[in-house]
Amino acid sequence: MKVDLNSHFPHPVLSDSNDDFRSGRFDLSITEVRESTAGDVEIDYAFSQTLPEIRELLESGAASLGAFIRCQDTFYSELRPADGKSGTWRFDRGTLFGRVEVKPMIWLKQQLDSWNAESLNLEYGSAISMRKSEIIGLANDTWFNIGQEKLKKFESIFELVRTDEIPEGQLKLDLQSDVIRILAPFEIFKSIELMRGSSHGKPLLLSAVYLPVVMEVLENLRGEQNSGYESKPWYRVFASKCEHFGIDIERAPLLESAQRLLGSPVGKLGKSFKELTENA
Amino acid sequence: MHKLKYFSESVLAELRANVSRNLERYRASGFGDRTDQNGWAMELSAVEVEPEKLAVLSQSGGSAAEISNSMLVFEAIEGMTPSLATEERVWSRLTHFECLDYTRGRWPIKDDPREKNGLFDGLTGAKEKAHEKRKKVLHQNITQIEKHYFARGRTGYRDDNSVARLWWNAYIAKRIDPQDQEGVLIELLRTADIRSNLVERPMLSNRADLMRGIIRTMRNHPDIYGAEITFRDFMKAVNIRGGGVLFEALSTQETDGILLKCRDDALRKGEKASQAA
Repeated sequence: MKVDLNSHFPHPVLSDSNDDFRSGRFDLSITEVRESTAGDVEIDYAFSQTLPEIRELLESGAASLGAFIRCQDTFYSELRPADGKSGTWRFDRGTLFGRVEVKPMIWLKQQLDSWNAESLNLEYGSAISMRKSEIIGLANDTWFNIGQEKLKKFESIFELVRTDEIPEGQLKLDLQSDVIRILAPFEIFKSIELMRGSSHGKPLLLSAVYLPVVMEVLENLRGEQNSGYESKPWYRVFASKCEHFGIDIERAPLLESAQRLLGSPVGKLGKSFKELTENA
Repeated sequence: MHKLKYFSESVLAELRANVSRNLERYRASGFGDRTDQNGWAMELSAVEVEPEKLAVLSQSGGSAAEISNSMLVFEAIEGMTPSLATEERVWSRLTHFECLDYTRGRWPIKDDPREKNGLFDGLTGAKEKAHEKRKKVLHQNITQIEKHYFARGRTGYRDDNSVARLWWNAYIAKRIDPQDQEGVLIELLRTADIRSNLVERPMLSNRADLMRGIIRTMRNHPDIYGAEITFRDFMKAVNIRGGGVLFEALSTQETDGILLKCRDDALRKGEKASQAA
């Protein structure tokens, strides 16, 4: 839609960028954009339109207000009418990604003959006729960003960090960072690195290190203590994965849940051990 | 059905950086030996793929093959969303594994010209010429691989990646008319020029009401694509006449009325040009 505040129309348009109307304002504010862990997007909007003559058109059904919502990355573009002055627009999972532009407008749903608006600029005379679908109100464009968390691999939210501050033979967890940090002293760190590099070592690593770590993360997310973690980047990925597996973070058994989240690594231990001993 | 796999960031970066070193793999041996390594086969939990459908993609470049391939790819990947379909790691994994044969056949990689090392070759300059030719072929091959095996940016996944472009063709067709996806594809993919005029213009291709109108006009008045220049003039007229029109608020008849005028503009322009010639 090649229309913006600089566009010129052969008919009056209520907009900040012209004086087609001697009074009146039209604005849209996006009050909140929510992404559910399942990927659905909800946009809360609030319109304000103060011109009585246009209000009459809206109330009589002769005009509509809403916004052109456009996402270039996903080739999405749609004219979304507003349901009243404020409300929520909903979008299915995956419809939007990246920059989403919102172009608020008021348009005519029917032909308007000899429309008489007191606040109309005198240049237009006392009455004017306009065709159906003409835009009669434009507000400033706005935009927001939609992220893409689902592709982050579960393991990518974990980071193994070498530290000399904890005793040899032990591991510790740090949930206060952007990722879940597994703190390991030098010797364990080295062993884990070795296991990571071997395809047979992966089930061992997942069972011996990640399984208890995931159990502790789940435990930390339970009850009121979870509130501090919701803003952490790793939380969305973790919660999304739990939702995908139907795991109720509050109540699900820890060991069973951790095994499901990690793809049952214990079940692969036997094969892994056999291959390791055969290749030794 | 299998879970759809994708590359890790580091694997994608490694592949991008090593196109020339991997030329032999792209030509013949493939990447099968790497699949067990870390980051080469990460799984998407919510998207499944039917490899049998991808295995029968036609390597011909004609319009009919493009239409059936687009439908096959769209049907083969269940649970794909537009936001996920912008992800280079997903499409690159498909072109390097499941659709490697198709991509090779559709956009073949040239063989290296033979080196000339004889004494006579050195004296006649044939050695230098052969060297230049090798460099040129290498450059062409790298460009070909970067274009069709990877999917960087909007143009990368919509127009260039050998598999992603097929999915996006079908997705855009479905958005235009969910009841007649294949019928829309027939019009969108008539020629490369028509695809470029319709699909590669996001200001246009994402406006379903307007696109439906254009498809109807193409069906009812095939003369608008009788010649490449006529279709281009038609699209120019759509740009001029439809620039500020809110097609979304118009009825089918009203939209068709405007597009018919655009068709008349294009045909008139063609007639004037042929009279002048």
